[in-house]
Amino acid sequence: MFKTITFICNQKKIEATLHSATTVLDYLRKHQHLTGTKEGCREGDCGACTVLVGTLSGKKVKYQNVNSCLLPIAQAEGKHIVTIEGLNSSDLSIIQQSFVDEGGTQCGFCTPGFIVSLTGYLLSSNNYNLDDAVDSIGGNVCRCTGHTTIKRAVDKIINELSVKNSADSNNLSSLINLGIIPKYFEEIPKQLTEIKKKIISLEYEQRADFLIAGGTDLFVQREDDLLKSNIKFFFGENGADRIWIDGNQCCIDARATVSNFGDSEIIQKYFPEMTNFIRLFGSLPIRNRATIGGNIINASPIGDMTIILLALNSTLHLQNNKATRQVSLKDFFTGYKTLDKKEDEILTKITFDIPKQNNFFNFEKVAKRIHLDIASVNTAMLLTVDDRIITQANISAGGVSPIPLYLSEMRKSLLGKKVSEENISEAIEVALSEISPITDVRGSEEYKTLLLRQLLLAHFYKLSPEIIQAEILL
Amino acid sequence: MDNSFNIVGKAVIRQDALEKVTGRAKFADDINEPGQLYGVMVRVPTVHATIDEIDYSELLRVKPDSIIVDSTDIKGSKKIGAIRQDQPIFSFDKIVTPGDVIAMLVGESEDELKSLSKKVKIKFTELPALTDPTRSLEPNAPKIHPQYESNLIVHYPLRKGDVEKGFKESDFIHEETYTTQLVEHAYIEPETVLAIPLEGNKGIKIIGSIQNPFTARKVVASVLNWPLTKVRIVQAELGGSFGGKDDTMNILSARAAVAALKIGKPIKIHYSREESILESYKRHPYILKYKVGCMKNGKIIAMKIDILADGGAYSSMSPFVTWRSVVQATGPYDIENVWTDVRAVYTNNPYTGAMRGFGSPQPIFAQESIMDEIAIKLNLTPDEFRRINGFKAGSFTASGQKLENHDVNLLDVLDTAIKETNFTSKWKEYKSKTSFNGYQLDKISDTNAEQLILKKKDYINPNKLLWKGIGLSISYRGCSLGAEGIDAAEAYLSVQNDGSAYLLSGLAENGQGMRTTHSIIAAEVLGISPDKIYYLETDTGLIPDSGPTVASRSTLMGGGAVKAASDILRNRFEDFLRLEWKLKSQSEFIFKDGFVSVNGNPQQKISFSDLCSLAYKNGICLAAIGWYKSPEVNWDEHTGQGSAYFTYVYGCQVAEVTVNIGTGQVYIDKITAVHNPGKVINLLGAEGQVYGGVTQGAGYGLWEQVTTDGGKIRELNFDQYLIPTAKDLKEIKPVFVEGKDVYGAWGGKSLGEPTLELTSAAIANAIRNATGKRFYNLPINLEELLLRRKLFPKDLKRGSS
Repeated sequence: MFKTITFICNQKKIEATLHSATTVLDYLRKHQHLTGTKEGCREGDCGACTVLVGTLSGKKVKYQNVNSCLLPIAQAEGKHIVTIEGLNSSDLSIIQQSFVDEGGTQCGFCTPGFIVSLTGYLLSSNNYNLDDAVDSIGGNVCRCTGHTTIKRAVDKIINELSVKNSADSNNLSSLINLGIIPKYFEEIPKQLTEIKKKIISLEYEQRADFLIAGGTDLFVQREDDLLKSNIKFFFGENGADRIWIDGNQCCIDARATVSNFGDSEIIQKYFPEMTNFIRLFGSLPIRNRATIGGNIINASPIGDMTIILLALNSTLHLQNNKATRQVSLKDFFTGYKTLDKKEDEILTKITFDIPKQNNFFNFEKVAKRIHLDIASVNTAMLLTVDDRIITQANISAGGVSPIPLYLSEMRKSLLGKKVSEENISEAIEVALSEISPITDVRGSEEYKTLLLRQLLLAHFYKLSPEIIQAEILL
Repeated sequence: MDNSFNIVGKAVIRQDALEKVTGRAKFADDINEPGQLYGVMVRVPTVHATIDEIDYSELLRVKPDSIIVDSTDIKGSKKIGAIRQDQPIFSFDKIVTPGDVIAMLVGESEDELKSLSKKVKIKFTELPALTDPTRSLEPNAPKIHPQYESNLIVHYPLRKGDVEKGFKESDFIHEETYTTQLVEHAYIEPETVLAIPLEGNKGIKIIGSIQNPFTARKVVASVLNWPLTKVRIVQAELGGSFGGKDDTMNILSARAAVAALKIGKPIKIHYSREESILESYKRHPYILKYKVGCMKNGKIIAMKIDILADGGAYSSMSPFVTWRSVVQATGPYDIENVWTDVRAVYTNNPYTGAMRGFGSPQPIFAQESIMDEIAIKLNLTPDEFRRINGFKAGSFTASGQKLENHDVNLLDVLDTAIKETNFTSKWKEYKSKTSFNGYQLDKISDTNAEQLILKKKDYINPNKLLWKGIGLSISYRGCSLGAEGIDAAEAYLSVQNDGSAYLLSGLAENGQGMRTTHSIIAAEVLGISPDKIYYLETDTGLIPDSGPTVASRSTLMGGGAVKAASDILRNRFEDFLRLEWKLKSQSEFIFKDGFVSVNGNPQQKISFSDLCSLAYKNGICLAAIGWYKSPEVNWDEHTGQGSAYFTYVYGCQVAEVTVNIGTGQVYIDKITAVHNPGKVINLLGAEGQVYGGVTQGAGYGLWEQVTTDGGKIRELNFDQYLIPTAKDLKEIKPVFVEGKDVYGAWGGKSLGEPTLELTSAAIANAIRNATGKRFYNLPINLEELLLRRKLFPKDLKRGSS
């Protein structure tokens, strides 16, 4: 499955014929000898291989940080790939200088990844602050500095930029003048526009051994198989238009990434807390690549995105070359990693009802390590309360069953009931009777049971302290 | 800050920072040689077996020109080891752990070699696996290495006073057992080595991610049966080591060298993360039993300690690691009667060796946990109890060594930490709040501890879920190798006639910032900027063997050698100037800011560069070799008595945590790390050591663990082996309380390891303060917080399965 791929790598336009599942990491190190991009784990957990991927959006290029070890070269098509070498110019960038001054580098192996991630942050944010900047390096690990001198360096950059008050990620020349990126970035939008014209449209019906949207889990598990297989990639181009409103429904293109979802104005409008929830999902470079559709089809019993969508009572839209059909997400999982999906069907769209005024939504997750870790247990709840009576309840739970679980018995127990200590306790007891957690690396059966109970209670408390008085939980 | 210094003690940026922030620094895998081939390992999926036959026929049928390297290609030592030669370069008689390598296939494509490696058929007979170290010394336990009498690698006794008499006289006795886990160094750069055969009779050059080039050279030379001079080891930029790129890299260097010489081409071996975790050594898991006899007034009068260390399949550094444990196991407390036994044993588990801390984090976790429990029993605060027993000048250690000739400032360090964190009032406040389901936690004895288990029916008001705690730990640490072995280092300083200088020491830059520290020392003596110093690349052909870069000895020993070389040159310059300027023999000079002037006559001065040029023209030798040898230390193997180390450093860390009592999650709010490193040479580097060490220590306390299932490692990559990220520790505050010492450069001693060894104990004590529960096993996991027991999974899948 060799393919000719055209893209810009740093300042250089490249046409390369490669197996489309070749990772960008291998391409950079072995073919281009750009050795500043490091290999540390090959599974998106260390960030040493972070590169920027610039995508043309109108006349501008939007940059995201991405783990090149999980990035198939096919996805570089028409993009600007930026490595640490592409950020070097005659003077150090302000990020590089700040790392030097604050001792942000010790052994130096992880350093290029951190600098690329932070450059990506400064290129993509409009409101620089330390929290967001640290989130952007949440997927980069350093074993020498304890990240403290790195955070010190970041803090210094953020302060300098807010004093200058002139940084504007929409204005490339201001970013160049501030010493964030080299001058050649100015030429990239024009160059990408020229390449862009050649991109072939994606055909849904084409058969392949693997159909890959983001591939962030598949490349971890089966990289060797992918390199021997016929692969069909299935990624879209634009982020902003992947989530839209249709009537009273919110629609998500299955190819939307977790970042697209979190950054969507629509989602932020209806779920103001979603940004905070999303920060508990993997790391920024993973969220930039992992797709909503992929999270569902992967059928992990603890997929964070799936748990959220289950509580939103989402509908899946499946398509093959003959027909389209709809299936409720809560009925989609028929067993461990088995789906109500024909082999030739593709998940194209996910829809759910726009929440109303009297809706409450919450998500809870506990993992061994608080950040950048897979959940032990996660759960989401969407509750509708009319005059203190529960009229609608959708609750999901991950990590407590072979499938991402929709707690239908708990729903029944709550519907039509008044919000009271007794009713909530009863409903939670019902929920605990419909789960079947197993002891595994993420916790024992007993622990997961306890966690779910605690997290379900947290929903009720957090969602509506005005309805549920703290005392009733005592 | 001490104003008598120009540069020492200030924050100096790293010399290698420029190439590192631009991605230009060349790590081992960034270096390629024309025509190089790759080596890929062949392993057997078993834990313990005898090898009956290695059959390459199927491989040769599929690929007749396969290049195979195995133990039959080795002309010299087939097995190596620092003390016991029990570890094969290629296994030929037995498999003793799953990381073992039978053979290496060599070729152009790593991918192709990986699939070919499955064609090697190894016939083996399974032997019973020994994975429980407590069974190792049982008479019927499987013998891991039949050439030795038993599975005992080493036993260190320490006997001081009369411990039984001490217990009899004690007002009460406190006994507890602790365990610590297997952990991985998790350097972000996996292992890589490149062996290049040199033309003619010049031998071989090896470039790699090698922590100890001289040890690697010794191993390679013995495997090749060559003189040391023909093996030249060049260190690439090292992407972190933390004690972890020693044995593994020596063996990889030997494999690459054997292959390179067999086929006459450069060979590269490059490990994936999975292979790295599978084959590399780890930190020893310990089982630690402590019995403490104490008086009502808080004075500890007897301590009995029994420690069992799981050495895994090979002896490696076990004899050295456990020796540090026996010296330091009581902690920094003056105790009249001590009885300690430390044993390391073989099992079929991954082998264990050197890791930052080196036999100290385990006993500190146990001993500092116990100290808090006794303090609570005595109704004393943790600091009050430690003040009663802690070392002061003139105190005697467990090995009977009198602490003298340096600032024994343990209690100053402790007091500084207490004041800095407002410890005592916080500790009392948090302790009084620990009630749980109506129980006052600190009033519950261990016997009814089951009551603390969160039952199905229990839940907690979310407002009350977050509990705060504060805890401290203290330690003393012997500097450098001590009675482990010969302890000396060399430095070479060559000033050029323009005033710039080459510097090289026999120790290695592992990312810790040694090059900068050494440059500062030379620059300080010569009164020039560290920028003027060019640090040469570490190459065993250019500098004498200065021992390994371990034991936090590069500032102390290497720094001492650099200072010695610098002093030689400075004296030479001074003698020259006295002659040149016709000064009296007792006249003194000031070397500062690139100028040399006569003390008391600032007008009489010369720029350093002019001085160099002038001295050069007068035939003065501008190069010098500095040698720094440690003072005598001694140890009696039978009694465990003696002057173990020639000097010590002291530290205290305070952890402040928030525990979510509903989920068991622990949030680290702040770690205050107060250390006496002797003299701080580079403030930026010293702070960096604290930040990194504390963070690794926190990972050790809360998240990091390599578990095995029948000897096979489950956590082979960073999705399962969880190291701290930028979001997991809120704040680390380093504080330095310097202490005078006659050794090293201006008394600059050790810091790298003390920073790590204290953190897990401080966190454990903070969690105890928050929850009222004592945790006996590392890592303290959130599941155990709730259930008070730990469960291990049977099998693991990758990714988000």
